[in-house]
Amino acid sequence: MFDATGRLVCRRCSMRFGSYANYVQHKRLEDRLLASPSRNATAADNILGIGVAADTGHTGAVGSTASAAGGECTPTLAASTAPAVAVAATAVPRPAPTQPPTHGAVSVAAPPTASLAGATRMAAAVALTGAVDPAGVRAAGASGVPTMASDTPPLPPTLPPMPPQFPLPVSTSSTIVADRIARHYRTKGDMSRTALYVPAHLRDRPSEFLSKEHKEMRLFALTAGGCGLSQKAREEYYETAVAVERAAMQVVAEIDARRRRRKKGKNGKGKKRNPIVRLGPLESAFPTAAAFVRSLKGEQWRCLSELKWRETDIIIRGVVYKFYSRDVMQVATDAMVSAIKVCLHGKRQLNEAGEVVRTNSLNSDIYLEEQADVHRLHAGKMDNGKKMPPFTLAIQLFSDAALVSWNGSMLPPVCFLAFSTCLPAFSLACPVLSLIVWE
Amino acid sequence: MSGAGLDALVFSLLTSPSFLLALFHLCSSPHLAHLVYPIRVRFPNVVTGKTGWITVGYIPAMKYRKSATDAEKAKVRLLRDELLQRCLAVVLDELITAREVGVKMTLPDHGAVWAVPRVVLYACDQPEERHLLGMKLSGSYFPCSMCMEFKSHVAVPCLGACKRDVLATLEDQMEATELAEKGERPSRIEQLAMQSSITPVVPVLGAVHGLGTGSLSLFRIFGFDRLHVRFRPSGLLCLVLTGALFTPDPCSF
Repeated sequence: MFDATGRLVCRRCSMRFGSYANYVQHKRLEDRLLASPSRNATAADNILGIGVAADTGHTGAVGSTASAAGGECTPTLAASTAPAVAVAATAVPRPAPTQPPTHGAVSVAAPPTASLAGATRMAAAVALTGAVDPAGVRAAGASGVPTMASDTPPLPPTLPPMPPQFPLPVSTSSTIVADRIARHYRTKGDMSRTALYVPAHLRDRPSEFLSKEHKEMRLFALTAGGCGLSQKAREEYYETAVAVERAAMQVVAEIDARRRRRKKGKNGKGKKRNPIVRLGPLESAFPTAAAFVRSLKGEQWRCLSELKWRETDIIIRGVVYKFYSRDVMQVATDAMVSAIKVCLHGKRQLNEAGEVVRTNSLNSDIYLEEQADVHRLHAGKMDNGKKMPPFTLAIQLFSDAALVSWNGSMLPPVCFLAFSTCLPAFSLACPVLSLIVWE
Repeated sequence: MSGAGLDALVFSLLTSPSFLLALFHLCSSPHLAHLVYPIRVRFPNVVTGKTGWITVGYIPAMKYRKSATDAEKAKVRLLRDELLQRCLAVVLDELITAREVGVKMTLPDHGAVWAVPRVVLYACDQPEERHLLGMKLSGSYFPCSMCMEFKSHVAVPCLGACKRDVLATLEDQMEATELAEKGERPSRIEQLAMQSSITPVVPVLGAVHGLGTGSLSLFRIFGFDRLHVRFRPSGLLCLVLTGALFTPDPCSF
């Protein structure tokens, strides 16, 4: 895209620009010309300086370009398949018109089969992408008939300035924009500054909470009240639990001693033994409260390590911001693999009256559109000779907007009280409102 | 430990104030944000299992300093938007990579399947939608994110405004962003901001397949946050929300 002097080069007409804004303006002008409904292929070719002998396949390719460049909701894969079309157009030798050229069109000698092959290939490409050109060339192209459009407006007698092997102008605007956005953010280098949050020496440590009782205690200590116990509360929790445990172990020891005494002597009377009090499961695993609290901290590291939490230094204007995140695809894989039941395909549901019924996210229009798109793109995947059916993995995002959108204003207490007082009376007057407000 | 229990455990850990305080004690710069807010993700394909929202990130939040001037507030707003997009870019990096080709998954009941991720919903309110899309929240001529209805014609039946073009808007934002980063042509940035109601921040969601490419659903994925409807701080909010819900949508898109 850049030449040796660092100037931007247009892919279509090899013009050079020092400023990116000028390049964008030039590109927009070209896209507008290509997307113009009144435009036909030959006219655009001449405007762009690319003279191509009129051919159905090439015209179809340009037409699909125009529709893709227009960006008006073309349900296409034109963007992703466009490079392939360009390659095909380059590889196929320029076909000759099967009918006499009209009005000064350049006649290039080539076997008719080449034209047919090119047209068929391009028709297949057009049919595959589903793109429809504004001039309605698709019908002719899809039929595979290499027609030389008799209604094509006359070409001005200008020779093509580009070499014959110059690729046809296939616009991949959407892909280019998406790739540019991705590249823009990747050049910031945030991913290179992303590392696992847990230090290496704290990862992969075995858990000290092995028994069921330990795990229950861990869960309570870390989740009580939603945020878990505080440091001091954890120590107190340990002391309380150990005190109960010691008392229980004392009772157990006394019972054991009594039983042994009965067994030792005749007639149930034997030598009195001192009860041997053993350590309970909690105290044996964690001798002190500090050990218990420290182990809980280790559990935090272990969980963070297992879930692969990452830390990123985001540098904006010299200021470093810490960002903690997980990989979405990793989370999605974990959720899908560990799920008991999954639904891989959505289906539109209709009621008895034939109206669309939406019951969940998999019935939504967007999901169904994306599902059709995915099936069109990825059908026929094979894995070791077996079919691997594609499915659309729906992802819903939600970020707590309270801090993003909060502008600092507060509702005055007087208004709060007034509206809170008036609301029941108003809701009585309006059953619908009442239903919604008071549920 | 089961996956759900583990996730709940970590969620509680990371939302605990002591943990966050510990995190921010690690940071030494005095300019750091002092609050974070979570970004969560959900997968509707999971019927039984992890069906709830799973936290995948904590975004630093910034507030204005007290008695900040308008210029300072504008800078902080821009900085906040940029930080939000950069954080999303980190979270969605693998998704952007996998958006086009998909990934292979081996599910217990279905065997090997080819999963192609698509973002179908971003639950948020209108201000955050504008932040995520890199559009101006106020002082814009076209306040609707889906169409180019002029500001004086909103909240009335549609007068036939055209749909907002996804690619053109993204290109404008790219141009404005690059010019702003280079510090060049502020008048051009202002012109772009006026004609498209954009800020010089390009939305990273535009790089996701299906949003910035394919069906170009970037402006359609935003849905109203029902959590705010259920939140009942006062009657005023409920009245406003009810009015908004029962008012016919003036936008034809």
